[in-house]
Amino acid sequence: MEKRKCLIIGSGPAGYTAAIYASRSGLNPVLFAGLQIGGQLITTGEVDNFPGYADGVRGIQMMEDLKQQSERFGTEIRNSEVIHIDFNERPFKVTTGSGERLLSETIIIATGASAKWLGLASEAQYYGAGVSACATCDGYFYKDKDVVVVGGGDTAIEEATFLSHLVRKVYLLVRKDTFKASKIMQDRLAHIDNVDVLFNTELSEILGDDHGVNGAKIYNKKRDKEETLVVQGIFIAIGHTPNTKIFEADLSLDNNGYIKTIPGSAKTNIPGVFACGDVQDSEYRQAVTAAGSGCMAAMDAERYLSSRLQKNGIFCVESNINISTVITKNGINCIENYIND
Amino acid sequence: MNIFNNLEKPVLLQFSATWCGPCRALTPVIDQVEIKMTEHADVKRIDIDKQAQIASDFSIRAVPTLVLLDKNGEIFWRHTGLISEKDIIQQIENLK
Ligand SMILES: Cc1cc2nc3c(=O)[nH]c(=O)nc-3n(C[C@H](O)[C@H](O)[C@H](O)COP(=O)(O)OP(=O)(O)OC[C@H]3O[C@@H](n4cnc5c(N)ncnc54)[C@H](O)[C@@H]3O)c2cc1C
Repeated sequence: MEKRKCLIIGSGPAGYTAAIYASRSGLNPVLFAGLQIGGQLITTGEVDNFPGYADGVRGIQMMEDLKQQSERFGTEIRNSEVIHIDFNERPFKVTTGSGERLLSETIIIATGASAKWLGLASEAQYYGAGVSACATCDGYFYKDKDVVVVGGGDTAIEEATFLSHLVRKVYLLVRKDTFKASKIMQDRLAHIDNVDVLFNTELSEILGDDHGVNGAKIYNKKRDKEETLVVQGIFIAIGHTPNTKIFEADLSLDNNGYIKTIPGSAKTNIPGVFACGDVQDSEYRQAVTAAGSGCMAAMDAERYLSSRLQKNGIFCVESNINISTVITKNGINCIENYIND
Repeated sequence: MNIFNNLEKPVLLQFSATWCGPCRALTPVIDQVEIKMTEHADVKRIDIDKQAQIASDFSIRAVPTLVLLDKNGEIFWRHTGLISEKDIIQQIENLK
Protein backbone atom coordinates (compact mmCIF):
# COMPACT_ATOMS: atom_id res chain seq x y z
CA MET A 1 0.00 0.00 0.00
CA GLU A 2 1.21 3.50 -0.81
CA LYS A 3 2.74 5.12 2.25
CA ARG A 4 3.12 8.84 2.96
CA LYS A 5 4.54 11.04 5.66
CA CYS A 6 1.90 13.69 5.25
CA LEU A 7 -1.55 13.65 3.70
CA ILE A 8 -3.55 16.85 3.36
CA ILE A 9 -7.32 16.89 2.88
CA GLY A 10 -8.72 19.95 1.15
CA SER A 11 -7.68 22.44 -1.51
CA GLY A 12 -8.74 25.76 0.00
CA PRO A 13 -6.29 28.39 1.30
CA ALA A 14 -5.58 26.25 4.41
CA GLY A 15 -4.85 23.03 2.51
CA TYR A 16 -2.64 24.66 -0.14
CA THR A 17 -0.71 26.67 2.45
CA ALA A 18 -0.14 23.54 4.55
CA ALA A 19 1.08 21.90 1.33
CA ILE A 20 3.52 24.74 0.60
CA TYR A 21 5.07 24.43 4.06
CA ALA A 22 4.98 20.62 4.21
CA SER A 23 6.58 20.22 0.79
CA ARG A 24 9.24 22.81 1.55
CA SER A 25 10.15 20.93 4.70
CA GLY A 26 10.57 17.68 2.80
CA LEU A 27 7.42 15.86 3.89
CA ASN A 28 6.54 15.09 0.28
CA PRO A 29 2.81 15.61 0.86
CA VAL A 30 -0.10 14.35 -1.15
CA LEU A 31 -3.14 16.62 -1.20
CA PHE A 32 -6.67 15.41 -1.88
CA ALA A 33 -8.55 18.31 -3.38
CA GLY A 34 -12.11 17.03 -2.92
CA LEU A 35 -14.99 18.07 -5.11
CA GLN A 36 -14.60 21.81 -4.63
CA ILE A 37 -11.13 22.23 -6.08
CA GLY A 38 -9.92 25.59 -4.77
CA GLY A 39 -12.40 25.71 -1.89
CA GLN A 40 -15.01 28.36 -1.13
CA LEU A 41 -13.21 31.22 -2.83
CA ILE A 42 -13.93 29.76 -6.27
CA THR A 43 -17.53 30.82 -5.66
CA THR A 44 -16.72 34.48 -5.13
CA GLY A 45 -15.72 37.25 -7.47
CA GLU A 46 -13.07 39.60 -6.20
CA VAL A 47 -11.00 39.05 -3.04
CA ASP A 48 -9.81 42.41 -1.74
CA ASN A 49 -8.37 41.56 1.63
CA PHE A 50 -5.76 38.89 1.03
CA PRO A 51 -2.35 40.43 1.74
CA GLY A 52 -0.05 40.72 -1.24
CA TYR A 53 -2.63 41.51 -3.91
CA ALA A 54 -2.57 45.30 -3.88
CA ASP A 55 -5.30 45.61 -6.51
CA GLY A 56 -7.42 42.67 -5.34
CA VAL A 57 -7.61 39.37 -7.14
CA ARG A 58 -10.29 37.08 -8.54
CA GLY A 59 -11.00 34.20 -6.15
CA ILE A 60 -10.40 31.65 -8.90
CA GLN A 61 -7.06 33.23 -9.78
CA MET A 62 -5.88 33.37 -6.20
CA MET A 63 -6.60 29.69 -5.71
CA GLU A 64 -4.81 28.83 -8.95
CA ASP A 65 -1.79 30.80 -7.70
CA LEU A 66 -1.80 28.94 -4.37
CA LYS A 67 -2.08 25.61 -6.17
CA GLN A 68 0.88 26.38 -8.38
CA GLN A 69 2.93 27.57 -5.43
CA SER A 70 2.30 24.30 -3.59
CA GLU A 71 3.14 22.25 -6.69
CA ARG A 72 6.35 24.17 -7.18
CA PHE A 73 7.78 22.48 -4.09
CA GLY A 74 6.60 19.03 -5.04
CA THR A 75 3.11 18.64 -3.57
CA GLU A 76 1.22 15.94 -5.38
CA ILE A 77 -2.40 16.95 -5.91
CA ARG A 78 -5.14 14.41 -6.57
CA ASN A 79 -8.69 15.30 -7.42
CA SER A 80 -10.56 12.86 -5.24
CA GLU A 81 -12.39 12.98 -1.95
CA VAL A 82 -11.36 11.25 1.22
CA ILE A 83 -14.27 9.16 2.38
CA HIS A 84 -12.86 7.31 5.38
CA ILE A 85 -9.89 7.35 7.74
CA ASP A 86 -9.02 4.62 10.18
CA PHE A 87 -7.51 6.56 13.07
CA ASN A 88 -7.03 3.47 15.21
CA GLU A 89 -4.14 2.15 13.20
CA ARG A 90 -0.79 3.79 12.62
CA PRO A 91 0.05 4.90 10.05
CA PHE A 92 -3.52 6.13 9.55
CA LYS A 93 -5.38 4.30 6.82
CA VAL A 94 -7.09 6.56 4.29
CA THR A 95 -9.71 5.55 1.71
CA THR A 96 -10.74 7.83 -1.16
CA GLY A 97 -13.88 8.08 -3.23
CA SER A 98 -12.08 6.71 -6.25
CA GLY A 99 -11.14 3.58 -4.34
CA GLU A 100 -7.51 4.40 -3.48
CA ARG A 101 -6.18 3.25 -0.13
CA LEU A 102 -3.08 4.70 1.38
CA LEU A 103 -1.25 5.00 4.66
CA SER A 104 -0.04 8.23 6.15
CA GLU A 105 1.88 9.07 9.29
CA THR A 106 0.26 12.47 9.66
CA ILE A 107 -3.05 13.86 8.45
CA ILE A 108 -3.78 17.54 7.95
CA ILE A 109 -7.50 18.25 7.78
CA ALA A 110 -8.44 21.36 5.80
CA THR A 111 -11.93 20.41 4.64
CA GLY A 112 -13.38 23.89 5.24
CA ALA A 113 -17.06 24.59 5.32
CA SER A 114 -20.09 24.33 3.04
CA ALA A 115 -23.07 26.58 2.57
CA LYS A 116 -25.94 26.02 4.99
CA TRP A 117 -29.46 25.51 3.73
CA LEU A 118 -32.74 26.49 5.35
CA GLY A 119 -34.06 22.94 5.12
CA LEU A 120 -37.31 23.69 3.28
CA ALA A 121 -38.45 20.85 1.03
CA SER A 122 -39.04 23.37 -1.77
CA GLU A 123 -35.42 24.51 -1.46
CA ALA A 124 -34.11 21.08 -2.47
CA GLN A 125 -36.84 20.71 -5.09
CA TYR A 126 -35.84 23.91 -6.90
CA TYR A 127 -32.07 23.72 -6.37
CA GLY A 128 -30.54 24.48 -9.76
CA ALA A 129 -33.92 25.72 -11.00
CA GLY A 130 -34.01 29.06 -9.21
CA VAL A 131 -32.48 28.21 -5.83
CA SER A 132 -28.75 28.82 -5.45
CA ALA A 133 -26.02 29.50 -2.90
CA CYS A 134 -23.64 31.08 -5.41
CA ALA A 135 -24.47 34.46 -6.91
CA THR A 136 -21.31 34.63 -8.99
CA CYS A 137 -22.20 31.28 -10.57
CA ASP A 138 -25.88 31.76 -11.13
CA GLY A 139 -26.57 35.53 -11.04
CA TYR A 140 -26.15 35.59 -14.82
CA PHE A 141 -29.47 33.79 -15.26
CA TYR A 142 -31.40 36.56 -13.52
CA LYS A 143 -30.55 39.57 -15.65
CA ASP A 144 -33.35 42.12 -15.30
CA LYS A 145 -35.34 39.79 -13.06
CA ASP A 146 -36.22 40.02 -9.36
CA VAL A 147 -34.53 37.87 -6.75
CA VAL A 148 -34.44 37.21 -3.03
CA VAL A 149 -31.27 36.89 -0.95
CA VAL A 150 -31.67 35.31 2.49
CA GLY A 151 -29.22 36.16 5.28
CA GLY A 152 -27.86 38.99 7.40
CA GLY A 153 -24.10 38.38 7.40
CA ASP A 154 -21.19 39.46 5.20
CA THR A 155 -21.85 36.75 2.63
CA ALA A 156 -25.50 37.78 2.23
CA ILE A 157 -24.56 41.43 1.62
CA GLU A 158 -21.84 40.37 -0.77
CA GLU A 159 -24.29 38.24 -2.74
CA ALA A 160 -26.89 41.04 -2.72
CA THR A 161 -24.33 43.60 -3.90
CA PHE A 162 -23.10 41.37 -6.69
CA LEU A 163 -26.64 40.61 -7.85
CA SER A 164 -27.71 44.27 -7.69
CA HIS A 165 -25.55 44.99 -10.76
CA LEU A 166 -27.32 42.33 -12.79
CA VAL A 167 -30.90 42.01 -11.66
CA ARG A 168 -33.78 44.47 -11.49
CA LYS A 169 -34.43 44.17 -7.78
CA VAL A 170 -33.00 42.31 -4.80
CA TYR A 171 -35.09 41.65 -1.69
CA LEU A 172 -32.65 40.99 1.13
CA LEU A 173 -34.43 39.06 3.89
CA VAL A 174 -32.86 39.48 7.33
CA ARG A 175 -34.34 37.37 10.12
CA LYS A 176 -33.37 39.72 12.94
CA ASP A 177 -33.88 43.48 13.23
CA THR A 178 -30.21 44.21 12.55
CA PHE A 179 -27.43 42.91 10.33
CA LYS A 180 -24.76 40.52 11.57
CA ALA A 181 -22.52 41.78 8.77
CA SER A 182 -19.50 44.02 9.35
CA LYS A 183 -19.91 47.76 9.10
CA ILE A 184 -17.90 48.05 5.90
CA MET A 185 -20.23 45.57 4.19
CA GLN A 186 -23.35 47.34 5.49
CA ASP A 187 -21.99 50.64 4.19
CA ARG A 188 -21.81 49.16 0.71
CA LEU A 189 -25.57 48.84 0.63
CA ALA A 190 -26.03 52.56 1.21
CA HIS A 191 -24.90 53.26 -2.35
CA ILE A 192 -27.19 50.76 -4.01
CA ASP A 193 -30.79 51.64 -4.73
CA ASN A 194 -32.19 48.37 -6.06
CA VAL A 195 -31.70 46.37 -2.86
CA ASP A 196 -34.70 46.35 -0.51
CA VAL A 197 -33.72 45.23 2.97
CA LEU A 198 -36.58 43.53 4.82
CA PHE A 199 -35.71 43.09 8.51
CA ASN A 200 -37.54 40.65 10.84
CA THR A 201 -38.43 38.66 7.78
CA GLU A 202 -38.09 34.96 7.02
CA LEU A 203 -38.48 32.96 3.87
CA SER A 204 -41.28 30.56 4.65
CA GLU A 205 -41.84 28.85 1.29
CA ILE A 206 -40.42 28.81 -2.21
CA LEU A 207 -43.03 28.77 -4.95
CA GLY A 208 -42.56 27.44 -8.45
CA ASP A 209 -43.70 25.28 -11.33
CA ASP A 210 -42.14 23.04 -13.99
CA HIS A 211 -39.94 25.91 -15.17
CA GLY A 212 -38.53 26.60 -11.72
CA VAL A 213 -38.99 29.26 -9.07
CA ASN A 214 -41.59 31.96 -9.59
CA GLY A 215 -42.18 33.31 -6.11
CA ALA A 216 -41.32 33.47 -2.44
CA LYS A 217 -43.62 33.40 0.55
CA ILE A 218 -42.18 35.60 3.28
CA TYR A 219 -43.22 36.15 6.86
CA ASN A 220 -42.67 39.31 8.88
CA LYS A 221 -42.47 38.28 12.53
CA LYS A 222 -42.90 41.74 13.94
CA ARG A 223 -46.05 42.50 12.01
CA ASP A 224 -47.17 38.85 11.97
CA LYS A 225 -47.81 39.20 8.28
CA GLU A 226 -47.23 36.81 5.39
CA GLU A 227 -46.90 37.98 1.81
CA THR A 228 -45.79 36.67 -1.56
CA LEU A 229 -43.03 38.20 -3.64
CA VAL A 230 -42.87 37.55 -7.37
CA VAL A 231 -39.24 36.54 -7.91
CA GLN A 232 -37.38 34.16 -10.19
CA GLY A 233 -34.31 33.48 -8.08
CA ILE A 234 -33.63 32.68 -4.42
CA PHE A 235 -30.08 32.95 -3.09
CA ILE A 236 -29.45 31.40 0.29
CA ALA A 237 -26.58 32.97 2.25
CA ILE A 238 -27.21 32.02 5.87
CA GLY A 239 -23.74 30.85 6.78
CA HIS A 240 -21.68 27.72 6.65
CA THR A 241 -21.32 24.37 8.39
CA PRO A 242 -17.91 22.74 8.85
CA ASN A 243 -17.21 19.65 6.74
CA THR A 244 -16.56 17.22 9.59
CA LYS A 245 -19.01 14.39 8.91
CA ILE A 246 -16.30 11.80 8.26
CA PHE A 247 -14.39 12.75 11.41
CA GLU A 248 -17.19 12.98 13.95
CA ALA A 249 -16.68 9.48 15.35
CA ASP A 250 -13.00 10.05 16.18
CA LEU A 251 -12.16 13.71 16.62
CA SER A 252 -13.30 16.08 19.35
CA LEU A 253 -15.77 18.54 17.85
CA ASP A 254 -17.48 21.52 19.44
CA ASN A 255 -21.28 21.89 19.65
CA ASN A 256 -21.45 23.31 16.15
CA GLY A 257 -19.37 20.54 14.63
CA TYR A 258 -16.05 22.42 14.33
CA ILE A 259 -12.90 20.42 15.07
CA LYS A 260 -11.37 21.38 18.41
CA THR A 261 -7.68 22.14 18.38
CA ILE A 262 -5.33 22.78 21.25
CA PRO A 263 -5.25 26.59 21.54
CA GLY A 264 -2.23 28.11 19.86
CA SER A 265 -1.66 25.02 17.69
CA ALA A 266 -3.26 22.94 14.96
CA LYS A 267 -3.24 19.78 17.08
CA THR A 268 -6.41 17.78 17.46
CA ASN A 269 -7.15 15.24 20.16
CA ILE A 270 -5.33 12.58 18.12
CA PRO A 271 -1.54 13.01 17.98
CA GLY A 272 -0.45 13.17 14.35
CA VAL A 273 -3.76 14.62 13.18
CA PHE A 274 -3.91 18.36 12.63
CA ALA A 275 -6.70 20.70 11.57
CA CYS A 276 -6.58 24.11 9.93
CA GLY A 277 -8.81 26.66 8.25
CA ASP A 278 -12.57 27.04 8.49
CA VAL A 279 -13.08 23.45 9.63
CA GLN A 280 -11.69 24.41 13.05
CA ASP A 281 -12.50 28.12 13.12
CA SER A 282 -15.98 29.38 13.84
CA GLU A 283 -14.71 32.84 14.67
CA TYR A 284 -12.63 34.43 11.90
CA ARG A 285 -13.30 32.34 8.76
CA GLN A 286 -11.09 34.32 6.41
CA ALA A 287 -8.75 33.20 3.68
CA VAL A 288 -5.76 34.71 5.44
CA THR A 289 -6.52 33.08 8.80
CA ALA A 290 -7.11 29.78 7.00
CA ALA A 291 -3.74 30.14 5.28
CA GLY A 292 -2.06 31.08 8.57
CA SER A 293 -3.41 28.04 10.35
CA GLY A 294 -2.41 25.88 7.35
CA CYS A 295 1.15 26.96 7.96
CA MET A 296 0.78 26.05 11.66
CA ALA A 297 -0.59 22.60 10.80
CA ALA A 298 2.34 21.79 8.50
CA MET A 299 4.88 22.99 11.06
CA ASP A 300 3.15 21.01 13.82
CA ALA A 301 3.18 17.92 11.56
CA GLU A 302 6.84 18.35 10.79
CA ARG A 303 7.71 18.76 14.49
CA TYR A 304 5.57 15.79 15.43
CA LEU A 305 7.36 13.58 12.91
CA SER A 306 10.80 14.65 14.00
CA SER A 307 10.20 14.43 17.75
CA ARG A 308 8.21 11.24 18.02
CA LEU A 309 9.73 7.88 18.79
CA GLN A 310 8.38 4.41 18.46
CA LYS A 311 8.90 2.15 21.46
CA ASN A 312 7.17 -1.15 22.09
CA GLY A 313 4.88 -0.42 19.16
CA ILE A 314 3.67 2.86 20.66
CA PHE A 315 4.40 6.17 19.03
CA CYS A 316 5.29 8.76 21.60
CA VAL A 317 6.38 12.33 21.62
CA GLU A 318 9.40 12.32 23.91
CA SER A 319 9.97 15.93 24.64
CA ASN A 320 7.66 17.48 27.16
CA ILE A 321 5.46 19.98 25.44
CA ASN A 322 3.49 21.86 28.04
CA ILE A 323 0.28 22.26 26.05
CA SER A 324 -0.26 18.51 26.10
CA THR A 325 -0.62 15.99 28.88
CA VAL A 326 2.10 13.47 29.58
CA ILE A 327 0.79 9.98 30.11
CA THR A 328 2.71 6.80 30.67
CA LYS A 329 2.19 3.77 28.49
CA ASN A 330 4.32 0.65 29.07
CA GLY A 331 6.81 2.72 30.98
CA ILE A 332 7.20 5.29 28.21
CA ASN A 333 6.22 8.90 28.66
CA CYS A 334 3.83 9.79 25.88
CA ILE A 335 2.23 13.03 24.96
CA GLU A 336 -1.51 12.72 24.76
CA ASN A 337 -3.38 15.59 23.21
CA TYR A 338 -5.99 16.60 25.69
CA ILE A 339 -8.53 19.23 24.90
CA ASN A 340 -10.56 20.87 27.63
CA ASP A 341 -14.29 20.85 27.16
CA MET B 1 -35.58 21.11 -28.49
CA ASN B 2 -33.77 18.31 -29.99
CA ILE B 3 -30.62 18.51 -31.91
CA PHE B 4 -29.83 15.47 -29.82
CA ASN B 5 -31.81 12.54 -31.15
CA ASN B 6 -30.91 9.28 -32.86
CA LEU B 7 -27.71 9.24 -30.95
CA GLU B 8 -25.09 6.54 -31.27
CA LYS B 9 -24.44 6.65 -27.57
CA PRO B 10 -25.88 8.48 -24.61
CA VAL B 11 -24.60 12.04 -24.30
CA LEU B 12 -23.42 13.81 -21.17
CA LEU B 13 -23.85 17.56 -21.53
CA GLN B 14 -21.75 19.77 -19.27
CA PHE B 15 -23.15 23.28 -19.10
CA SER B 16 -20.57 25.72 -17.87
CA ALA B 17 -19.17 29.23 -18.17
CA THR B 18 -15.70 30.70 -18.12
CA TRP B 19 -16.57 32.96 -15.18
CA CYS B 20 -17.88 30.14 -13.00
CA GLY B 21 -15.35 28.79 -10.48
CA PRO B 22 -17.16 25.56 -9.62
CA CYS B 23 -17.38 24.82 -13.38
CA ARG B 24 -13.60 24.83 -13.48
CA ALA B 25 -13.47 22.54 -10.46
CA LEU B 26 -15.78 20.11 -12.24
CA THR B 27 -13.83 20.05 -15.51
CA PRO B 28 -11.05 17.62 -14.45
CA VAL B 29 -13.76 15.29 -13.11
CA ILE B 30 -15.56 15.36 -16.47
CA ASP B 31 -12.22 14.83 -18.26
CA GLN B 32 -11.79 11.59 -16.31
CA VAL B 33 -15.37 10.50 -16.99
CA GLU B 34 -14.81 11.14 -20.69
CA ILE B 35 -11.68 8.99 -20.72
CA LYS B 36 -13.15 6.16 -18.67
CA MET B 37 -16.58 6.05 -20.29
CA THR B 38 -15.63 6.82 -23.88
CA GLU B 39 -17.24 3.60 -25.11
CA HIS B 40 -20.50 4.25 -23.34
CA ALA B 41 -21.16 7.96 -23.63
CA ASP B 42 -20.11 11.06 -25.52
CA VAL B 43 -19.29 14.16 -23.55
CA LYS B 44 -20.30 17.56 -24.91
CA ARG B 45 -19.25 20.75 -23.20
CA ILE B 46 -21.53 23.69 -23.61
CA ASP B 47 -20.40 27.21 -22.84
CA ILE B 48 -23.65 28.94 -21.97
CA ASP B 49 -22.35 32.29 -23.19
CA LYS B 50 -21.54 30.95 -26.64
CA GLN B 51 -24.39 28.45 -26.94
CA ALA B 52 -27.13 30.30 -25.13
CA GLN B 53 -29.87 28.68 -27.19
CA ILE B 54 -29.00 25.15 -26.08
CA ALA B 55 -28.78 26.33 -22.48
CA SER B 56 -32.21 27.87 -22.79
CA ASP B 57 -33.62 24.74 -24.53
CA PHE B 58 -32.58 22.76 -21.49
CA SER B 59 -33.88 25.44 -19.07
CA ILE B 60 -30.46 25.87 -17.50
CA ARG B 61 -30.67 28.27 -14.53
CA ALA B 62 -27.45 27.37 -12.75
CA VAL B 63 -23.95 26.24 -13.62
CA PRO B 64 -22.34 23.81 -13.53
CA THR B 65 -25.25 21.62 -14.61
CA LEU B 66 -24.91 18.15 -16.08
CA VAL B 67 -27.60 16.58 -18.25
CA LEU B 68 -27.41 12.96 -19.32
CA LEU B 69 -29.39 12.09 -22.45
CA ASP B 70 -30.28 8.55 -23.48
CA LYS B 71 -29.94 7.44 -27.13
CA ASN B 72 -33.34 8.90 -27.95
CA GLY B 73 -32.25 12.27 -26.68
CA GLU B 74 -34.50 12.04 -23.63
CA ILE B 75 -33.25 13.45 -20.35
CA PHE B 76 -32.31 10.52 -18.14
CA TRP B 77 -30.61 12.46 -15.34
CA ARG B 78 -29.83 16.04 -14.39
CA HIS B 79 -27.59 17.46 -11.72
CA THR B 80 -26.55 20.94 -10.63
CA GLY B 81 -23.37 21.62 -8.66
CA LEU B 82 -20.25 19.62 -7.94
CA ILE B 83 -20.31 15.84 -8.01
CA SER B 84 -17.78 13.00 -7.94
CA GLU B 85 -16.54 11.03 -10.91
CA LYS B 86 -17.92 7.85 -9.36
CA ASP B 87 -21.45 9.22 -9.09
CA ILE B 88 -21.48 10.43 -12.70
CA ILE B 89 -20.16 7.09 -13.95
CA GLN B 90 -22.87 5.36 -11.93
CA GLN B 91 -25.53 7.31 -13.80
CA ILE B 92 -24.01 6.36 -17.16
CA GLU B 93 -23.83 2.74 -16.00
CA ASN B 94 -27.52 2.91 -15.07
CA LEU B 95 -28.29 3.71 -18.69
CA LYS B 96 -26.56 0.67 -20.11
C1 LIG C 1 -18.98 33.83 -1.25
C2 LIG C 1 -17.80 33.89 -0.32
C3 LIG C 1 -16.95 34.99 -0.34
C4 LIG C 1 -15.84 35.05 0.51
N1 LIG C 1 -15.02 36.14 0.42
C5 LIG C 1 -13.92 36.19 1.20
C6 LIG C 1 -13.01 37.28 1.08
O1 LIG C 1 -13.21 38.21 0.29
N2 LIG C 1 -11.90 37.28 1.88
C7 LIG C 1 -11.64 36.27 2.76
O2 LIG C 1 -10.61 36.31 3.43
N3 LIG C 1 -12.49 35.24 2.89
C8 LIG C 1 -13.61 35.17 2.13
N4 LIG C 1 -14.48 34.11 2.28
C9 LIG C 1 -14.17 33.08 3.27
C10 LIG C 1 -13.10 32.14 2.74
O3 LIG C 1 -13.53 31.63 1.51
C11 LIG C 1 -12.84 31.00 3.71
O4 LIG C 1 -12.50 31.50 4.96
C12 LIG C 1 -11.70 30.12 3.23
O5 LIG C 1 -11.96 29.65 1.91
C13 LIG C 1 -11.49 28.93 4.15
O6 LIG C 1 -10.47 28.16 3.63
P1 LIG C 1 -10.27 26.62 3.96
O7 LIG C 1 -9.03 26.21 3.28
O8 LIG C 1 -10.36 26.41 5.43
O9 LIG C 1 -11.54 25.85 3.38
P2 LIG C 1 -12.38 25.91 2.02
O10 LIG C 1 -12.04 27.07 1.19
O11 LIG C 1 -13.80 25.72 2.47
O12 LIG C 1 -11.90 24.59 1.28
C14 LIG C 1 -12.23 23.31 1.75
C15 LIG C 1 -11.63 22.29 0.83
O13 LIG C 1 -11.81 20.99 1.38
C16 LIG C 1 -12.20 20.09 0.37
N5 LIG C 1 -12.88 18.97 1.00
C17 LIG C 1 -13.98 18.95 1.80
N6 LIG C 1 -14.27 17.69 2.17
C18 LIG C 1 -13.32 16.90 1.61
C19 LIG C 1 -13.07 15.49 1.63
N7 LIG C 1 -13.85 14.63 2.30
N8 LIG C 1 -12.01 15.01 0.93
C20 LIG C 1 -11.18 15.86 0.24
N9 LIG C 1 -11.37 17.20 0.21
C21 LIG C 1 -12.43 17.70 0.88
C22 LIG C 1 -13.04 20.92 -0.58
O14 LIG C 1 -13.08 20.32 -1.88
C23 LIG C 1 -12.27 22.23 -0.57
O15 LIG C 1 -11.23 22.16 -1.50
C24 LIG C 1 -15.59 34.00 1.43
C25 LIG C 1 -16.45 32.90 1.46
C26 LIG C 1 -17.55 32.83 0.60
C27 LIG C 1 -18.44 31.62 0.64
